[in-house]
Amino acid sequence: MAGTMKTVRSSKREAVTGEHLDAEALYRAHADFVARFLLRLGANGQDVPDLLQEVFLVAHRRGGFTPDRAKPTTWLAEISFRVFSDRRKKSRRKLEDSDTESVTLAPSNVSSPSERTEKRQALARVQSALDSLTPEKRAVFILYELEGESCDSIAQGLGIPVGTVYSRLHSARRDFARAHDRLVDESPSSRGVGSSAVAGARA
Amino acid sequence: MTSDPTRLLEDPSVVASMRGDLLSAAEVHVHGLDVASGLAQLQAATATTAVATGAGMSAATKIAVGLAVTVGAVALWAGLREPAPSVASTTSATISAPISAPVVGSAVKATPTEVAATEIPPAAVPEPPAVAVTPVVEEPEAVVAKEPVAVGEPSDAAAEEPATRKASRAVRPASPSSFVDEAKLVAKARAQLTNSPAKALELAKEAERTFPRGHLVEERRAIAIRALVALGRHDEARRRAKPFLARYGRGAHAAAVRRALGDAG
Repeated sequence: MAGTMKTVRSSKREAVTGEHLDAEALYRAHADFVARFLLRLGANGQDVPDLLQEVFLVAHRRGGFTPDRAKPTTWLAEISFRVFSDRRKKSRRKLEDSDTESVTLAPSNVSSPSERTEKRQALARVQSALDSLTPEKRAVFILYELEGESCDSIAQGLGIPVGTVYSRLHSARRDFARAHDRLVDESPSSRGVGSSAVAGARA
Repeated sequence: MTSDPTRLLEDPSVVASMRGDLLSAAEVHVHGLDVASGLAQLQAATATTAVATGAGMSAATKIAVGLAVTVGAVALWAGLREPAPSVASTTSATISAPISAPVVGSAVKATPTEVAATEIPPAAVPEPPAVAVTPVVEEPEAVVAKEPVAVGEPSDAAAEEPATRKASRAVRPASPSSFVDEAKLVAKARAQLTNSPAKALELAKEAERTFPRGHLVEERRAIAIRALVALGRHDEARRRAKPFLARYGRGAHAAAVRRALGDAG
């Protein structure tokens, strides 16, 4: 598993390019990342195409990405967070009631229908646990734990001190583990498997 | 460089169920996203949307620009308090502020490029700064979201007000969601320009009312001028084009405005 995890991580950690990237180049390279991030934040699948446009339009208005600022991904994450938060405040739509047919996250590397089912359940548990976090903690958790970004890059991208990233991550891990524990306990297929031991982030 | 904690995925002390779920969540792909269509839509939108003019400036340059703007504004303010401000004092204020003159659009404590979006007007326009813009120095903040705030832009209706009145205006924060709404409204106005200039003008006015200090002031003013030309209101169009071209003469919409006025005769 460790090897697999390493592959996942390395494929998602892109080196900071030394070139300026305009909105189109950013879209080509990072539309998937932004869509994943928005969905994990809790965006409605049907809203994702529209939110994507808004994110990259803001990126365009800002003049694109220049390498002195974070990484393209964490830089876009900050814009995405803002756009998502704005939309949420305005729509006040309950995410649980949303129709997520349009754009979704689907499990990869699936070899059988049963494995697909298991992975979908795993995704649902992770999303439910993420939904229990505050948006700020959720963003840090997603970027660090699922996207493999470094704390420094997250701090630069989101414009917060790295100490804040650590404290949010620490708190997010604790909340995530509690929520995940509950979900595992409720899940028939995973009953009996607890998850109390979570390594804490450095505060 | 800091030393990050071990990720949960790679931490053997974390129970297998959680690591397994996190691994599944990390190994997802996005389903149902039409990248080609989204890219085409973005290309269409960006083709007519101005880019922040100072994009790519270094942090030091941005700070210097911010300071220069403030120095210029303070110098102007001092000059305006004089009973009879001399030409020399105004000139020195202009010289001390390299980007000088009618600087109005900027964002306070937002992003570097939003700061860099400060307009750089034609050098030949010796007008004083309309609004004092606070320089922005990058510093950490304790929240994730950096809200778009404090755009010191006067309204279109006030575009021809004396500079002293404009300078007295306080810089106020803009709504966090203003940019997206503003962009949509201006895009609607733009879309109506050819077939329904009256509607375009109405929408541009609505954008002015709703987002008097928005990010797309230049574009909405250009749309309004072009709509006026299309409606045959040439005198009004010329009257509004004068301050527009003085301020945005090098902007992305100046050519379209000049062309429209040229066609109008």
